[in-house]
Amino acid sequence: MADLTAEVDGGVVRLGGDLTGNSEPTLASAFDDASGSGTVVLDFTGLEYMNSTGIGLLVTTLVRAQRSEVTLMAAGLSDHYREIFSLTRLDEAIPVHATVEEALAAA
Amino acid sequence: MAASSTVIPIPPTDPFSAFLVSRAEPVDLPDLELESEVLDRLRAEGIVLVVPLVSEGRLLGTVNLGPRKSEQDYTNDDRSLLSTLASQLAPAVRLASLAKQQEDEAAERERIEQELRVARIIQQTLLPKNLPEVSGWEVSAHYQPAREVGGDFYDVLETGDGRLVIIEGDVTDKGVPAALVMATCRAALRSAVELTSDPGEILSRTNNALVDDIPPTMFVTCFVGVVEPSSGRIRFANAGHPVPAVAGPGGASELRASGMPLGLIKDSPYEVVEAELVPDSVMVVASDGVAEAHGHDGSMYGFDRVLETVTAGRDGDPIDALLEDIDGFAAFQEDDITVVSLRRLASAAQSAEAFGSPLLEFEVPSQEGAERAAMEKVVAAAGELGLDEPRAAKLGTAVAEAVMNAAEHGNGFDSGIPVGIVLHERGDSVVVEVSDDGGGLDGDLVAPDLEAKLDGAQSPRGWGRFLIEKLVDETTDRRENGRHILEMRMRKVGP
Repeated sequence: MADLTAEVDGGVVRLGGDLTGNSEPTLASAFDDASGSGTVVLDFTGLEYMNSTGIGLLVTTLVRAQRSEVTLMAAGLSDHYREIFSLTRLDEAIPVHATVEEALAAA
Repeated sequence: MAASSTVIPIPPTDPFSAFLVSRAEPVDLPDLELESEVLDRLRAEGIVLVVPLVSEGRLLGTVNLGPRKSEQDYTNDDRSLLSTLASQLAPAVRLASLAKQQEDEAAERERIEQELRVARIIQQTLLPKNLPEVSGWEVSAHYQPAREVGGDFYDVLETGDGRLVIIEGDVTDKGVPAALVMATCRAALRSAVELTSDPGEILSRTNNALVDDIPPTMFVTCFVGVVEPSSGRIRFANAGHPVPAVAGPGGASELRASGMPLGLIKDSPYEVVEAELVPDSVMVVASDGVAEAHGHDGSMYGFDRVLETVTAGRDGDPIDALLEDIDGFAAFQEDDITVVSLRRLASAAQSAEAFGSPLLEFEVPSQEGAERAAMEKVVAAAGELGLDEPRAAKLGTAVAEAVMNAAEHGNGFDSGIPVGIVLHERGDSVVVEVSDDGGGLDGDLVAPDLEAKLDGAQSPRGWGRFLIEKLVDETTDRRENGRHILEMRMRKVGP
């Protein structure tokens, strides 16, 4: 089990390790740091594991983004987590792109 | 002539009645020598002449006359006139009384028909419209009311922990009273099933509810079988209902358990017996309208023939086989015929043979993060069993979610209570069971809805069970030895 790591690079948050309910402080502060430009791209390329409490945390982050009128996007999801985004319909609220570059181009 | 309005009944046992029939003409009372109470009463009323109304040898009534106003005796002409009158009056009276009788009978027939219609409606409203569908099993039922609707009923229920409850009953009596008792009994059974999955307790609760509610002359026979679909284990109890027949690859058997019919004696005990419905076997519960059907020669169909017919019809539809055989046997249908069948499919047989010993069996402590280790072991084992990578990943995530729910909701994060994980290969599938000490799902699960979560109407969490259901091919909840078990099945190859 690895804690979540979140590296902020402009509007991009590069996630690593495990995204679970315990990741709230890490993700919240990374989101705040990245949201200045009005767009935050969550890069899941380095993600090892995400569970349903992690999905809950994404919903919380999405609520925050909507309140502060920040566009939240996702990139670099594995096929498995891409499918979970689809099952939970998270992909209807968080635009999903294959890569960070594509996401930034769409922003 | 003096007219009197007093009605004096003439009982057929009074000698005067027979006398009047034999004479069939006006009779003078003063000279008559006969020991008769009726005669004494007539004389006391001042009657002197009685004209009998006789038709087809039956006394329909009399015309009773007092003395003539002229105080002279009745003449022969008078008598002849009265005689003619009586002979014409008698058939008319007879006709009128027959017409009245027929009218009464028609009204009674209409009343009975109406009652039958009501009974049929009550009964048909209360029989299940749809039967549960359980993978690997087939449930069928047939109900055929007799003209005079009996009190047969059946019900097939699914409990919260995935068991199947098969119920068949028969209320003594017919028509509306039987239909009403059936409705009471069905409601009592259903509420008992909500409280317990022990067939003996289901029957004793229902019995105690009925003893107070139904007339002392009525009772209900009833079979209750509680089936665990994953193992084929059936626990059953029987309140005097016909014994169910089981036909399987190893031959025929009977599911016998003793118990008094429902509604007679409070706190009656009900024996609970356990059996196994092996793959490719079928259980048939047939009401007494089947075994007690009478043939043209007056013989009874009998339970042995039920068993024989079910055994012979095992490969096809045993209900059809039974109905066809009875149709050829019985002179007419005297009683309701109700047959419920439960078949364990043969395909489940092969999977059960392959069930074997678990390929993976371990425990993790009930604490956060424990699910990751469980997931990795399951994904590795599933990969070795031939699940492709995406399906193994899905099963892994489902198991992780199940372990999280078990640790949190089942065991309350008590690190002293482990979460159990067992992995089997079953036929074309990998099956993982995750067990905890909790009570399983309570009530209906609210499906998570992203909009509701974004609006704050639902908590952002609550995705676990939803994901499990979406990720694997089949889930089953059950209880075993006080543990709640969630079974997840994933086919090796996707559709």
